[in-house]
Amino acid sequence: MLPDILICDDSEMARKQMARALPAALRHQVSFCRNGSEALARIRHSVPDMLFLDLNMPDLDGYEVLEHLRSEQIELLTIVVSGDIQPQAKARVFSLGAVAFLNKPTAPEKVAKLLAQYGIYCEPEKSSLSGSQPETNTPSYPASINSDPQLLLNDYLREIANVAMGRSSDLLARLLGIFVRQPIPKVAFIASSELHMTIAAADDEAHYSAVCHGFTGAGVAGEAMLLFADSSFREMAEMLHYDNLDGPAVNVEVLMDMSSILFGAFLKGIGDQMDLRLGLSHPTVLGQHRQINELLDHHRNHEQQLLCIEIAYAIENRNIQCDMLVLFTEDSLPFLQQRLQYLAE
Amino acid sequence: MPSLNSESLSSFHWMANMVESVEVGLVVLDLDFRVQMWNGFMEHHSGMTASKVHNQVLFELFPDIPRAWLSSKVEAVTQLNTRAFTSWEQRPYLLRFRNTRPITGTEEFMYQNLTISPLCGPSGKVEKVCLMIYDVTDIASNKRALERANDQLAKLSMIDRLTGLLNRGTWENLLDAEFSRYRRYGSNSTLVMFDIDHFKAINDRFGHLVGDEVIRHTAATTRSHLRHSDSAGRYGGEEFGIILPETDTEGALTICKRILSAISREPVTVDSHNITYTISIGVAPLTDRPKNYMAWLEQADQAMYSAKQAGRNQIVTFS
Repeated sequence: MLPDILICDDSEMARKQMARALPAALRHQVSFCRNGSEALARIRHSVPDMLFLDLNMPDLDGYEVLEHLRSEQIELLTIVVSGDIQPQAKARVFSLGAVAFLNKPTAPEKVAKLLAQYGIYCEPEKSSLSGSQPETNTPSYPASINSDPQLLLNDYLREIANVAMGRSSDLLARLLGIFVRQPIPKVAFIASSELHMTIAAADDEAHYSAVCHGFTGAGVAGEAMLLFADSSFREMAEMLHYDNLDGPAVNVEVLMDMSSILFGAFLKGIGDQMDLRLGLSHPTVLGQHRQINELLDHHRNHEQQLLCIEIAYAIENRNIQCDMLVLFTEDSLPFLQQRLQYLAE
Repeated sequence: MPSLNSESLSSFHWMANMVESVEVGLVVLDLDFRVQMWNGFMEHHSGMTASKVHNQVLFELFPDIPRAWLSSKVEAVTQLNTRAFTSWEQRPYLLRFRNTRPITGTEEFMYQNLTISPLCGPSGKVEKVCLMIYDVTDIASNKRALERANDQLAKLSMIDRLTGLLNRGTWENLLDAEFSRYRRYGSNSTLVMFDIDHFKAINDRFGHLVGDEVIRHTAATTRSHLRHSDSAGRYGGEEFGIILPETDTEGALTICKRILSAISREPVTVDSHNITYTISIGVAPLTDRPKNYMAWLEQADQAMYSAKQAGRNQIVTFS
């Protein structure tokens, strides 16, 4: 009898990728859940043999699922699959009872090894018929998966951004010696004139400063923007161990340092996953100590549809609010669609 | 090691040539900040040749470089294997290079953007860093000129063109602020409104240009009797207002009398016309009675009309 394997991830693309990393014979047997609550309900109903669990999910996240499993004393081999590669994230999930940690995107060899190690499933020798097994029926997804191509594209991009964000958070965490709680990236199509409204976290009254980096690659281009609330600068400068915490230059210093770290790693992460090299321009200060709509006001002349990834970083126990926006131009869409489709096949 | 064939040798030669001649400063440092490479741009601007700086510690060659700052940036670059960028807005330059252009160079020194890139050895470990120094003097000086122009525009938009006094909008904002300040902290404050007597007659008789000259003269005389903290504005055609902070009625009357007598005494000479004219002044010391600054303004206006009705060329205090 084939083992009962459950994959829990909020991203459809991540669920597909994880299923594909399983040995071919198991691929059609797995069941899926789209969030922590769904997974817990399913597990309480019948405990699977193994759970592949994402960390970064809306509502109930992976950490909370692990906590529930422990407090309800449910014995379940749980393997965390995450884009968050901070050492502290690993340590946290192990202390909560996970047996292994896999980095996204998952490598099939590692999965096979884990399945064998825990006696769940051993792949027959390569010489057997496993390669020619019919793969006609696609995996059974939970009900009401949206098949709108637009929403699929958003989902894929969110997952790609999630993995790339894991890398930039890791750098930030290492530089500052802290743990960065992973926010959930938001992906949306917006008109360039609506940019200021996208920045959901922004307060109309507060003042912000921003720095921008242009990026280009074969077929894609865009601009990344880092937006800092003016009230966050001092604490950020403290965390970066600057000798001098005051004065106008400190703010630019914080913006430059943070954007170098976050964007460098993020765009490399995006590029690696899409097999693409992205060039990064020297950053420019967009404006300082302004309200959001004022900051973006002069940049509204050319109307186009933008694909926008927004990541709202917050640092635990600190009053630091920093928004990262990655905007792809309209011209980049055909390329992105093609690449993402290829990734999801 | 595989030996280089002649083709790759010659392409290596071209590349070295490009690096040498590109108009960007390129410096390679080992992790102890010893200079490993120094291109033509660096030679020209620093006046130090590559052979002279080779293997020398950057901080010893240029003692002015902010050591702690650059060290922490380089450390982050090597530790995280990622690029770092700095802009002229945070630090105008890394190395102070003279401005070299006698005609188009308006700045004293070269503004620089800096990129610090990690360079990995065959093992994938960061072994050296590359500094790229960009000359952004043109951008910086344009941006600074634009900021200066904007400041000037902001100032101009506050000023009345004819008299050089504050324009009505700006002056009313100040009045509002003064009113709020009084509400919060108390202490005296007095408002003065005044108007040129029979101004229409002056205009009709001598023409608008002469009328303008009379207005300008009134403003100049007023200004010459005010203290630094007083704010005078042109409220309407021939009507003016003065905010006198930290001033009681008595103090305000002293100032007003001086202005009144100076204007009635000295005639203005325009196009060989000697024009003698007078003004009527209303004074309103601020009390708890007005609900807002407009009510306060109303009191000063009422006092001014009383002065007109009482025969002009005089001061009336609101009571």
